[in-house]
Amino acid sequence: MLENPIILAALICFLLGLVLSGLVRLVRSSAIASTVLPIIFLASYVLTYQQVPTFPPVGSTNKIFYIALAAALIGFALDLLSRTANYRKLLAAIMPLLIVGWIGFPRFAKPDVELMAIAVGLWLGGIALLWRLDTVATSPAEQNGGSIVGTAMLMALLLAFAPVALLGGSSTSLMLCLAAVAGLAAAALWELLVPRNAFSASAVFGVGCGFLAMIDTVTLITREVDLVALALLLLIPYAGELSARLLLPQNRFRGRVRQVLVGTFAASPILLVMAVLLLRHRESIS
Amino acid sequence: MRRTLAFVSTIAALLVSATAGRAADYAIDPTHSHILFTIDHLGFAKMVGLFGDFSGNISFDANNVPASKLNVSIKTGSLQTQFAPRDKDLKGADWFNVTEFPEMTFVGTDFVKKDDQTGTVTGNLTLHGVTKPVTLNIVVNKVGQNPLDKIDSAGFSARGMFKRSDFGMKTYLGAIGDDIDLIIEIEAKKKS
Repeated sequence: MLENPIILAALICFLLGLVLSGLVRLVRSSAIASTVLPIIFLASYVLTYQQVPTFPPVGSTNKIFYIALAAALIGFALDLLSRTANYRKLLAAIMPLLIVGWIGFPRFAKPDVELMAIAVGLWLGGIALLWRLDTVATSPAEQNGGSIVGTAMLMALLLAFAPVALLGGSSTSLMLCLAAVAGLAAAALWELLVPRNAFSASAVFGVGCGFLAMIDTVTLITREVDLVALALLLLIPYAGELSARLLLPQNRFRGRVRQVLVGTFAASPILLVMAVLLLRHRESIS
Repeated sequence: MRRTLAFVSTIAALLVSATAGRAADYAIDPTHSHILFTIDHLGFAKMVGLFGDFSGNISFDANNVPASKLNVSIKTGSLQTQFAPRDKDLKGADWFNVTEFPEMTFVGTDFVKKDDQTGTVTGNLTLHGVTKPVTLNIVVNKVGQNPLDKIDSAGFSARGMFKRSDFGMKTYLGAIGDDIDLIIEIEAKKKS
């Protein structure tokens, strides 16, 4: 079974997540605890592409690593500072634009209406995603479910994007996604057992921006992605909140039960994405 | 009169020898040329791929092989492996990345003649934004007039190998082989 590179990478990331998440619980710092998630994402990248890419990066896939790294460092710096709410929202608006611009740069030499529409869609979608993740990270756990829901959102996003990437001509992104999900699952397990609020700016921006860079690469460079399925990914960060407001009155479900329910609702759009892919790519799948 | 004849014959001899020693320029005939590669798949089989769109020029002089020239440009988007989903993957950002690197090139730098029929060409292969030297073993199949179109032609077979990891293509190393074996068959027509 370990001869399968995807399973091997997932197992390594899971163990890495277990060890790192355990170690950070020895220190009382949510800023440090939060760095585990982008470290897992970067480790998934290295295991998938089997390299730390050269700098400056050559090609869009190499850029993914440095985007995730830079965003995680910026996020960590924000975690150490106080009163950063405005900077975080500004960053959530700017980073997706910079990522689209940098990844899509080779194509913008010959822009057309379709390309620009997709680029704007990726930018706005990126804002919606980072904005929501940041809201989860900064608001009280009782309100948005806290770190466990934030981590579950990232896992759901990666899990849903994996088949989209596979059918979009990037089996490598599928491997990266699944390895990262395994690592994040280990971190979520720790968070469930010993809460440490391990989901703040470094996780939001490090994993979030790395994820956006991966999406932008498959969409703008490989250019085979299913845009409908991709758009449905945006439901994931909002499905939990909407479901909680509509279906889970505050006084009926509290604490851990509420977190698990909201996390489950957040993950439910994965099934929708899968269904859309099955309907639209039946020939490729069979 | 005798002096004049001697002068004219000397000039004619010089011209003939100069022509014989001058390299002939050829353009690759894409309809009779093929660039294929094989790569190991899980140790079970060699997957075969080919590039359908390429062009190039050869300057070749059998009497002065080291002075030869070779440049080939391959459109990476013309990759085919007889399986559409795999082609999509291989053309994507993780492998050949045809959007950012639409061409791969080979420019010969060192031409060595072993005997009348064989030799080696070492040149710079640029792939995926990385340039590394690659050596090809060459067999000169035939140089002469094509009996069908009456154009002077030259035919070469080339074999070579490079490691994809040298060019930053490390995706699925271990499961998918690192060594890329090249099978190149070239027919080139003399430029008029």
